[in-house]
Amino acid sequence: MLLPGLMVSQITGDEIPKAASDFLLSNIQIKTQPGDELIRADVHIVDGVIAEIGEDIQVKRGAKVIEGDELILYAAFISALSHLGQPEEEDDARRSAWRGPPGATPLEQSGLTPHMFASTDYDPGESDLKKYHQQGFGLVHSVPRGFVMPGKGSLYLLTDPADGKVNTLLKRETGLFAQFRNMRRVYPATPLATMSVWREVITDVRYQKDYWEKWNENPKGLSRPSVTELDKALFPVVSGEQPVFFHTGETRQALRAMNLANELNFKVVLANAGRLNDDFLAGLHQGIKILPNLDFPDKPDEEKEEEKGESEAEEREQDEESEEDPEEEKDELPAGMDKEEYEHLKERRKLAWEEQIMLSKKAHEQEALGGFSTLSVGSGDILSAVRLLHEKGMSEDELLEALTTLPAELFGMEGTIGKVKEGYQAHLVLFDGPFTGEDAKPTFLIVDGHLHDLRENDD
Amino acid sequence: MKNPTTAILLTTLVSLMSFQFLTAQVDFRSGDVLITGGNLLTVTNGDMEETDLLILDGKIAEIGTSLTAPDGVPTLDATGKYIMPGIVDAHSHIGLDAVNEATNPMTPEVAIADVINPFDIALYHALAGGVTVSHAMHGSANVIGGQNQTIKHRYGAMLPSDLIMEDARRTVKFALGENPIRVHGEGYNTVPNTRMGVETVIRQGFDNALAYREAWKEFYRKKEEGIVAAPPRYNQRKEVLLEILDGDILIHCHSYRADEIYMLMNVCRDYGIEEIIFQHVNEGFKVAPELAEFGAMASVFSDWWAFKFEVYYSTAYNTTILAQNDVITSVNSDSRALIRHLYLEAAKAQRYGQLSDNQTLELITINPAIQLGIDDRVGSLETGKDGDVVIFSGHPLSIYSIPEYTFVDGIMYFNRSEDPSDMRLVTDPEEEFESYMKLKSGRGDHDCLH
Repeated sequence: MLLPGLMVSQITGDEIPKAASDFLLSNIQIKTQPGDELIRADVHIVDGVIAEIGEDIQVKRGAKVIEGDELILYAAFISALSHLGQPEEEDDARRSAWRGPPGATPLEQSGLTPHMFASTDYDPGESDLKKYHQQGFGLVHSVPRGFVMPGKGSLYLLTDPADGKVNTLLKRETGLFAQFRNMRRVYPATPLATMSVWREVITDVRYQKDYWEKWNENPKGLSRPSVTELDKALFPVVSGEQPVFFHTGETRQALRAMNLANELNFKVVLANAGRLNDDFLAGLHQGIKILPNLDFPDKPDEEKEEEKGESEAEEREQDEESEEDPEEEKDELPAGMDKEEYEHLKERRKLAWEEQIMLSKKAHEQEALGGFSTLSVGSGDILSAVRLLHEKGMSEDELLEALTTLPAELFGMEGTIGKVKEGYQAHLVLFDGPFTGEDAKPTFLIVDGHLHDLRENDD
Repeated sequence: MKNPTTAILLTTLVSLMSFQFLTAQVDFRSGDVLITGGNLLTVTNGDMEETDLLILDGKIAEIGTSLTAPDGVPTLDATGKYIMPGIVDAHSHIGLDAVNEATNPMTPEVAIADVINPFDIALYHALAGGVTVSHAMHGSANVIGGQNQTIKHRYGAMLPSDLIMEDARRTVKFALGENPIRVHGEGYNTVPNTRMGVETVIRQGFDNALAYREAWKEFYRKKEEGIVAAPPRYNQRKEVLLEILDGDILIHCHSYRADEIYMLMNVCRDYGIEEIIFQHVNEGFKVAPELAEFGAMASVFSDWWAFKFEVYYSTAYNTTILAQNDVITSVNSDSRALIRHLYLEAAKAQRYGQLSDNQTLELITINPAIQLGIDDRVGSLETGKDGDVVIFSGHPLSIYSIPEYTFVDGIMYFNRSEDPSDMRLVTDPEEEFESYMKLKSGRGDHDCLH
């Protein structure tokens, strides 16, 4: 028979037993931070904080104990840019609600909505959440979808939505997400006008902010400022408190964003960057961070052939294969193209592919890497993309930096997340081997004091 | 602007060409070259047979006979060939990612400099036609379009900024007649819907800009007196309109009909604008004396008309009539196809009107350079000017001649005997090669609506 008190608490949820918030990871291999050697120790987590790392830690009865064995403990991975949890775009999203003359479109209806937040409609689906978990991710920077200025990004912990999304929000406003993406039939319709809209809006907002501050200081005798919500949302951008995460897929877009930031004096992060050429990287302004896009193009045939050739060097010329290849080539040769030209084009295609793959490493060498963007990569393809980078020369430490400490720094939270150290928040992932291994899998994920056992979810 | 990376890139590109190898042992990409024994067509100082031309550090250093190359400077023998200044195309849309911000009848705030695409293969094709500089323009969808950008065809540069011609005069696109009327009046049911509306858009734009200036003057006057006042809303469009009114930005106006050409000269007089260049100006022959009196210039098609009503009444003698009435006239392409043989387009003025050789060459060299405000840099073979030269197999105005070498800033960007099949700067990592075959066929033309 249920006591009345307990019935009430069942309604309010106050007395519902919480998941265990006292964990001991016993005798586990720990990667405290990129660059450190692995150490083996106990890790005691209490109420979402790494309380102690040491030998033979004694814990209270009831604490959940996980044996370290061959598991490796890392800080949970952070996606530096994503649309996770954002509502899907309507099919006719590019069609503005505005029906008047395109040149008279109010800014909000032409894709300028900096006063919108990613947190407003954030609702990650179970399927995507699972995929992120199963690749070791515990945190995500989610930005709204949209056009020229979709709105402000929010930093989230990837916990079960049933636990309530308010508590999982680490930062409501990380910065402004911006794109060179236009609605139809409204001004701005091309990158031409997008550039001048930025110039006009930022310059105007500076004047308005100046007056707004003076009026707030002493409004006597002054007419009320005409600042709008749109203007106010840009105040932290013009003051430099918040950066602009500018979606820039390739060199020309990145240059436009960088030029705007320079002219108008705001901070910019080149987000979801695909191909940035060497000339651009050589001229990258000091302090600008790049978030490379992990949505890599398919490996071209010539790259696969090269790998195949390397891996089967000892088993040369099985009859089937030596017959297959010339046939394949004959089939692929387009009409009117000779073999020499074909080889040349394949070589160029391979170089183009490599240029995109090597961006992360080049950015890291220049200390311009800010993290990885998972904005356009499929939710289930993130770790395989990271592993491809490992295959192509990035070390595990460099990749771990991009997944943990660099984004922590980007969001100004380097003292609380991104490392496995005493006092840090306990957002952790346990892999059954080095995470760069092709078959390595995360077995447990701890986020915000919740343990996710990923072994049963193994497909 | 020399860019060592460009040289590295070109070398890398060429080394990729498995079926074309750089046979010359010398490097013509340093910005220094001695061209010997050619027939110089200087345009401003007459023709000079069998004369040498020395370019150092990207500038024409010396013109004379029996010149010797300083140490390390390569020599190119041009005996029997003709050398003229690099061709300047005063109306082009090549090398751009966008052409028309067609959503408002007035968009002077937008700038073509923001959307330059250095990877456009048309830039290389233009070099093959001897064109070294082009006026990359906004389209003609709007009455007042965007700010244009004069670019140098430094094909191989990997940054848009490397194509910008430093210190070139600022210009802006205007357009009269059917195009803005069709796009805005018919398309969006806004002003202008007639030629009257076109004029009104301009006058109203200027008047509003002048009122905006007064509002800011008032704000700053108060500020100086220590009075805190709400600032007017900053308006990029009006800021640029004021720069046009102040003469800081030169108007290049797409126009066809004599009545609208005349109208705009009157508007300019009313607002104190002293310089204007009309583009296309097919009916310019009807108002040639008026154009000359105003000091207006004209950039025309050689023989392109009847593609819409406002160009119905035209003549191939337009170029000559304008030139002979002392209107500084140039011939332009407005096309990624015609830019490849702009020298032949100009030559038509000899068939229709019998302009002299030099007058004809002026149409594509010094005259467009004057119209773009860059005649101190290009448009003739004179010491101190940029090393932009083209070497033709014969006289450029002969139907039998073709450009063989094209130099920009003393760097050889085109060499007909070493012209690889694949000169693309950027390729797609997921490229289907069938699309490459389409590109080879040379299709594609996006332009200003004409």
